[in-house]
Amino acid sequence: MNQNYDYFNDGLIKFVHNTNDSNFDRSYSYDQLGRLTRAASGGSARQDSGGVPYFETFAFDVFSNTLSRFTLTWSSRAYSDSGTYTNGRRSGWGYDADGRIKTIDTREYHYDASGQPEQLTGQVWNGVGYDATSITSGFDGDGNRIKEVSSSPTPVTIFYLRSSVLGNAAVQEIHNGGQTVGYVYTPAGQVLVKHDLGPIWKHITPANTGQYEIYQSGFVNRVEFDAVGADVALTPAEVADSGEGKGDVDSGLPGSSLDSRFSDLSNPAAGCVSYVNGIPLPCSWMGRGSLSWLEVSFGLEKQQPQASISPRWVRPQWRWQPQIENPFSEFNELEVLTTNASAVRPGHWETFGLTPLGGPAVHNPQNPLPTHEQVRNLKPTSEQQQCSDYLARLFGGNGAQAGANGFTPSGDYRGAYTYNGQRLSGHLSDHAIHISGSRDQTKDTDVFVPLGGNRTLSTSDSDGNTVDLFHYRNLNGLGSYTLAVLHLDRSSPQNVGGRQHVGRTGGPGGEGANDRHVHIELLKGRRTTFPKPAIRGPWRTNLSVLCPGR
Amino acid sequence: MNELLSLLISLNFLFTLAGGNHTHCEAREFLEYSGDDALCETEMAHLDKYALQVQSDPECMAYIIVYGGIRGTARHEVSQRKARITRYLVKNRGLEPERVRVVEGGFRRKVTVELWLIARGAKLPKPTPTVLPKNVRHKRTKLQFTCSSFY
Repeated sequence: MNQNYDYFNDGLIKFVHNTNDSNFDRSYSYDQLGRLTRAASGGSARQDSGGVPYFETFAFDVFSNTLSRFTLTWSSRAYSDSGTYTNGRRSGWGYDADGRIKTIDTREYHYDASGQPEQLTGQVWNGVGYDATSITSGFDGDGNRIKEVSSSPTPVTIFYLRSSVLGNAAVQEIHNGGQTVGYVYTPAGQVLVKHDLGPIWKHITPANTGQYEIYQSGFVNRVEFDAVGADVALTPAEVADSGEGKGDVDSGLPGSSLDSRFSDLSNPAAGCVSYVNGIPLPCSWMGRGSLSWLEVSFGLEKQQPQASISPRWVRPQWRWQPQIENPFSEFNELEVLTTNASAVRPGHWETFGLTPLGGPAVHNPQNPLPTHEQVRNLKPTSEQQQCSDYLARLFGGNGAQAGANGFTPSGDYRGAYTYNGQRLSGHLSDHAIHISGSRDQTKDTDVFVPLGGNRTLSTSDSDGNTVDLFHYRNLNGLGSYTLAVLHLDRSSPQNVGGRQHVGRTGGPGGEGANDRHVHIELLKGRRTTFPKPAIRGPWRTNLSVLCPGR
Repeated sequence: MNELLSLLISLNFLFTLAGGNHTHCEAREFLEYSGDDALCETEMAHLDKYALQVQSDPECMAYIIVYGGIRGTARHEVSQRKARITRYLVKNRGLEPERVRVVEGGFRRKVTVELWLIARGAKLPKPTPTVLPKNVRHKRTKLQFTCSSFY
């Protein structure tokens, strides 16, 4: 497998050259909000007469709901889907009182009291007719899936054994037949090796275009995906199609539909689903770049231990605890790799050095701070650097630099290297970035926010720092979020090149000659106030979710 | 001869072990910052480095001297700066309160903060103000210096 990539100036993937199989060259087009509008492969991507495994188009409303999809496969089969939405809910689909999807045609979702997707019932095409099917899951008290029972075609029960050290990632599946399947994860939390009657190395291509499973015998099982993660046949063969209804469970797809690990090429109405660990993504997030490290983004939440943990004469100490940040939690289908605060039992403190891109990188028990040496050695990966550069282009003018957010490039901030990649504490690692005009922070730059924001606050805090809040009903397809910009040297808002110019760096609090910057945070929901960190902490979100493919 | 050599090596080893408890923070200034470098977020960067250094040596104490400026310093500024530094080091960076001491040092040309590393029981450094209190003109302002938006 060998692929080369072309990018648009804003970092989105433009073209994937597959030098081994040109049928799977791919091209991508996006609208002004960076949403995928057209995905082509083979001859259609290159604009020549070569075979076309798939050609797809997408249309979205202003809230990034998918209005329509069209898929043409290289067996000349065409599939389409369209929908309308009211308050973010698709007409024809059923939702429960909490806004979770309840029904899609014949498919029904059932949730337990804690909101976990307890059961899916539906029908599956058996070639001549339909069989009823159900997938039932059991969860432990921490919300981790520990059991899965699927009824069709053959009843299968799977128990998941999880690792607290690996953030509750499933490390072993135990089947009712006695078969066990083990998993090994990369530091980013991606499945690297699946051990099922022998090791199977799994490799996902960087742009999520395909998956290679390499068996011990040398056999390679290759799967090519369309732009939204559906399995595309390697040759112009008929893809499985049964004239399925929108909610029908596809019989040919691995994984359960409760945590669909593949989209369904022949059933676009079933939605777009990431094939990695079943984290479902909105269609607008598909094909926007490398998804291989988009599992979940972890954060650290500072929590006070329960009073009962400490003897009365011991002063309770605040500790950093790992907390999962799942920007797509509205789907309630997160499958694995979850770490939540309650998983840390009394008397069992662990701190994690986390890669901002998800996954425990350093397990650092009983050590609340990294050493100088550890911090110095933390370097951004190329993906992290790309994301940092993207944020600089998103919020800053020419030459702007984005710092921190857990992965400030080494050497920034005039030797204040504790910002560089500091995961365990420090205010910038708590999901905030600095935008400045130069790497040494001595220059100013223009400051922009995405279009469509509604300013909900423009004030100064008690120290005189300016605070500006911009609310978005559906920021980048993520849902309701508020951008907080501090130290802004304000100016009249102007639309400039698809962004809203709101001022320059260097406002009150960010005016230091060697520290000219604005401080930006991303807060969940609509915010009209900017309280102290202890209160707004749970709202804060890692800004890297704004990066392409994240 | 060999026995004598072995004895010398053993003595040298014991001497090295005894010296291993030596702390390298007896009483030295780790960092001094003033003016723009005393803004909330820049100060936090300095305090981050400082906290790591203090934490790396259990025999070390944090001793901080805060000076007011000759112009533009509010009357409540130095006390609020002292409080916020203590709060950041203890609450945000996890230093034990008994290892952190923040004192007022009088006045200098600009608001200045000295971060010292002091061995337990060592003699504390004396503040070195450069401006007499009678020459200081305080600023009237309702602004606070608590950095409440950040820590």
